[in-house]
Amino acid sequence: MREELLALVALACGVQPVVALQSEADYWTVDYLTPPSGEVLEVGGIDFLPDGRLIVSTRRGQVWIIDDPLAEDPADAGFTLFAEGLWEGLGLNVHDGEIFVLQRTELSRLVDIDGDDICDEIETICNDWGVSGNYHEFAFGLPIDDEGNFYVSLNVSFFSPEWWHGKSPVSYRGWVLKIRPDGQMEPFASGVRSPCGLGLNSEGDLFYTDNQGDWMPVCPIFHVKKDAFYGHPASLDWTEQYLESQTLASDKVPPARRRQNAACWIPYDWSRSTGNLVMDETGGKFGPFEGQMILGEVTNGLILRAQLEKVRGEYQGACFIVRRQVGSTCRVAFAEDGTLFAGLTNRGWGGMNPADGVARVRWTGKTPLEMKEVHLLQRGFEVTFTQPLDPERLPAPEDQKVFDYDYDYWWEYGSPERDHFDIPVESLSLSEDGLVLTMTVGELAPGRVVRARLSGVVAADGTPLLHEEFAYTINQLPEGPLSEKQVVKVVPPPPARESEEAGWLRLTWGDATDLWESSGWELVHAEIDPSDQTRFTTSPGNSALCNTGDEVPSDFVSKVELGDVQLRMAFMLPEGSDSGVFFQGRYELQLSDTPDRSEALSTDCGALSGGDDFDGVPPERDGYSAAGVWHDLEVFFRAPRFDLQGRKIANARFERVSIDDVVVQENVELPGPTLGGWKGETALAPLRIQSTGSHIAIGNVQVKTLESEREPGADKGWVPLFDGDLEGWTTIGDDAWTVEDGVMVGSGERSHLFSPRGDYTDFDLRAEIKINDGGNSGLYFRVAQGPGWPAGYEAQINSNFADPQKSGSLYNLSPLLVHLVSQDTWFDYRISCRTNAAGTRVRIWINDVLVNDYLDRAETYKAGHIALQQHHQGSVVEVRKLEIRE
Amino acid sequence: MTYLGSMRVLALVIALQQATFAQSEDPHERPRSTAARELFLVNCASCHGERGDGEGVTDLDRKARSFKEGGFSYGNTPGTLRRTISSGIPGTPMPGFGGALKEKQIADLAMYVLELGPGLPPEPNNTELVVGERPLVVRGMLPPIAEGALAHPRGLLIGRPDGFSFEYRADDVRLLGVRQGRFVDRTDWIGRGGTALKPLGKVVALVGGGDPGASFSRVDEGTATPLRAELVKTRIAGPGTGARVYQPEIVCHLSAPTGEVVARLVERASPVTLGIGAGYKREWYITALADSLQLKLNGPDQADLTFLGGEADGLEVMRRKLSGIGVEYTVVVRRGSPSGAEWSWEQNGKSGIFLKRHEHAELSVWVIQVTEQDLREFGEDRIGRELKEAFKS
Repeated sequence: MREELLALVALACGVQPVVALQSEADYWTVDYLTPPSGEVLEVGGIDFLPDGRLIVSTRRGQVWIIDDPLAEDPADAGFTLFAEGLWEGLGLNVHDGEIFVLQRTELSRLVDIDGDDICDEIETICNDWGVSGNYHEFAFGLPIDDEGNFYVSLNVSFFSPEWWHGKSPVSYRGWVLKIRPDGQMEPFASGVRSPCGLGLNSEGDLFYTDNQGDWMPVCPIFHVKKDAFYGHPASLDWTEQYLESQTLASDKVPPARRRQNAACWIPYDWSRSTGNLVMDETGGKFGPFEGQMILGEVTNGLILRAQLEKVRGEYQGACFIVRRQVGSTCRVAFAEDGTLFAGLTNRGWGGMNPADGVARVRWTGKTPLEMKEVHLLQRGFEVTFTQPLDPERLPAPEDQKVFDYDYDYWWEYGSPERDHFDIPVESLSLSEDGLVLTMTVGELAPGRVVRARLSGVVAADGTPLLHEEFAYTINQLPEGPLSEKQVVKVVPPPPARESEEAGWLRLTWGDATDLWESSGWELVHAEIDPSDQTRFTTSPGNSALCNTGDEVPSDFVSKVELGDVQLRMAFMLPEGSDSGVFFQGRYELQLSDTPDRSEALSTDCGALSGGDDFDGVPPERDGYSAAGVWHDLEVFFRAPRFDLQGRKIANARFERVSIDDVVVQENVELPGPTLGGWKGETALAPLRIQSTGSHIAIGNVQVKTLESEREPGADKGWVPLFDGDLEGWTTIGDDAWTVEDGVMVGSGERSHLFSPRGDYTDFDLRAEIKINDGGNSGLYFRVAQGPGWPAGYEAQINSNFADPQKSGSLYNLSPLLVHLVSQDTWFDYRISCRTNAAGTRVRIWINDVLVNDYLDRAETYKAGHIALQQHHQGSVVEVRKLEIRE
Repeated sequence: MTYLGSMRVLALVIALQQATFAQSEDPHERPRSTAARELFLVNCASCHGERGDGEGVTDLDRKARSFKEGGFSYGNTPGTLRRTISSGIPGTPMPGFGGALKEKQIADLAMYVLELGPGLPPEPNNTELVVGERPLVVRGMLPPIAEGALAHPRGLLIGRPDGFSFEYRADDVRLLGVRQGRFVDRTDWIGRGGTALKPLGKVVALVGGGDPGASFSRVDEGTATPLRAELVKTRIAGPGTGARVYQPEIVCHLSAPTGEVVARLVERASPVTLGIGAGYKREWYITALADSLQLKLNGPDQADLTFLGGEADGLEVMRRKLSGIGVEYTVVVRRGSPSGAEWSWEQNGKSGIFLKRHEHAELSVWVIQVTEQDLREFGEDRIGRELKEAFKS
């Protein structure tokens, strides 16, 4: 994939626009070292030995020495395994000729006693921080300052089920540590979340990058100061104040303590997982960015730079893209000759391919036209370019796009950009030498990020800008009173996650294929095959559902039938893959690897396919980025409508389709099935994911029934079974049942609660139900009142209790193994029980989707009570709006 | 197999070795299957049966392994089988043939035994670590070694070329147990990572039920205070570093509750096979870092130990019943007097060492398991005598 950047140069003087083609590759080449066959280098630390050899530590606990890393042919670089058996080397530094590696559980010095390039000794410098065993407790590093002190940053822990609230269960999770050369550890700064990158600038000031998530709206670059706090509250549990008061920081309300400003908030579309940072001190060997900060980026697989300045005594500044299409860059380091080595890894994190190995990014010697520096003025920016601009072809101020925004400080995963305001550009003026453009704009405000795109700027020789955008974080303006405002604003806590999950059915959670007709699909971990980018290689795991199994893959067809529905799922494609999601098995939304989109086609990813007598609809925008990247798909789909005679009165309609939050389709009606769709049209039909000859990986398929006109009479005839107290109901077992705010609550030891009447035969039954984490309950019908496990039909209520039969199961008669509803989440349960000549038919709906349809020919239970189960101590079930219709 | 029995086998083996040696002087000649079969018949068939079906003539408490199904206690690769044949299986009648047979004979036997089964196993998956000629020290999270024991996020697993691995928690450097078989599956390389290691060897010795106490205490005015061990380094001594063979070592500091570091300790652990049983030994090289230090070695599960006798020259034998397996003998051996250091041995199963700053002492503990059957055959007194004899020489 070598994306050609198309730059349109509109000339101000009325001449025909000229299209100039240039590519990042014209200025920075990328090639890759070739590790020994079969070896996977998931690079977490990178540096150079005094003799110029490269040394990398990996997440697989290996350390490799690479001979001749600057060889003209990258295949000539030789790999020697120096050490193995470490636990996750996410930091490496060669200091005074000694090799230091940061492992998850200790900072170590690796010693080769006899000089045979095999490590003989692993010396523990420090292991004084806590490791609870949680998977997310990464330790990152490893800069060393002039006094030989090490800096280490510790990830917070993520526990199920509320993984989105990062925790600090053991000491100093969420801290930056300073470790003295003698191993003494000093907790240095708190409030970090997932602090993947640490580095020192030329002045010896320490910086770290964090990853967007709870309390981190996007990825920032922070200047780290002793005892400062960077925003994630979990770490505060280990401050003296919290230890003394024996309180834990809230994971929902921002702490009273003020967080530090970030020197730079990197736009979400540029960075979703920032790696480490190094200073360009190459003396111009890497290009025109001497003295600036160079950063790796994992998710988007690119190299960024940040140019910071001190305004009112504190760092703030701008960031830019340097080079795309490098790979999942976790670590960067400069070689003597100015080559930037990029250590790649993304396992478990996601990111652009290549996903592992070592890349070399080298400047070709040709200087692009770039914004070299951006300095903040009270009313604008002073932009210095790498080459003089053509004063005759200065673009119009009104063609420039400048806007600003801020973020929310909350526990939600990341924050959208809030309060976008366009800032008018009032004038552009160029210095005598053509190098400095002063851009005067309308009012600038502190506590905002300014994003600017310069359009139409060209060098004297007509070369357009290679990258037209910068993002500048304004914590303070150069003049005026010092501002208290912060880019990340304290806002009311967002609603608890459970209410957002209400209504959703997780069709691939737990037993991923239980609710699907399929063959040849498997639950695995999938990555693009490095030897054949059009395929996946798989390993044991549960991150992807793939059509990579041994059997010939079929389409992946839901057993449930859907009508008006909101769909969310993740998907990932290898190169050239062509697949699709057929709504109702008939209407195809294209999922295809089509990253190079100079012209929108109806075969592009996000297109709606054409049919027998209508054309396909290309996507309005490009939401798809690349092969090997997980994308989030969200679709609002309306099924066709029919009148009572079965005549169609409304077409199927895609209300909205978005890929990675980019809306690609809006309000598109389809007159009939698309090519490859099933024939005919109906109100309800299964979802179908296409398996052509190419691979596709999907994940976390969820659907939610959209509000629509209800069928006539749907709400008629229902009678409440429960009127706010338990009068007439009978408890057998522990006295486990209470009523709180109109909700029946079961908790305590085993117990069953029976309805007053015991002669129910044919009926519809419905309720809103919530079961807690680890809880188990059941809604019984046609059940006999008595001790022990009651005899009757049981609609199971279980989200994540160990019993494999989950909510939606007709217990022991028709089990469902898929975890359709998350715990602690209200869902609508509806049951129809009818006996006719064939037997007793029991149907179960969750959130208006029929998930179980079972014919009990034996008519096992004839009539009885309605009852609720309290399964065990620790289980809590809540039931409201319990109603019956006979 | 009895002690005397194994001596008889040994004599036969020596005779056979001479015969086969004469036959295969040409190094290129493949061993004839008849030669491997001869080896099998002489060494293995009495327990495992002539056809390898476990129907041997020797009367055993538990029937010997049938090779027909291809299941093996410690792995079914040629390498793991060679190790099992060489080292034996502690706690079972399976003796080690490492001293009796040559490497090539063991290799031939391993292949022969494998061919009795359903076929060669698949290659190890790409997350399995295999120990080559160098020991391999692995850091990672250890799952509970026994029912009810804890997982240890800071774990050390030391794999040896002989197929044994020694499992320590690193926080306070305590040996949790000894395993035999394949080494470890690094499942934390899959998915998002951060999960526990999966040691593949079978636990052949468990120390302190999986939650052992401190190995050493400092005695001060009659009061013994356990000393905390802190990991200083792990090291592979080897030919390149002046050692004869590759030997994994752990270096740690012993610190008092006050934080004072009172001694530096180098520990080497390895499996041992004696005629009467098999087990492991831990050797310590101690350097005092306090001005004056009285160290006491804490035996494993001291409460269960019966003191069998001590000698003035620094040899003690203790026994402990292992339910269902037999008896575990713990032998403490002092190796040479440190110059100027004072030694003192008590008659209650405890030992003390007096050291001044920078003085050294060497100490080893051998833990040998003797099966019920051998116990019945020999009688305890005799085993005790044999053990003491073995260490005196």
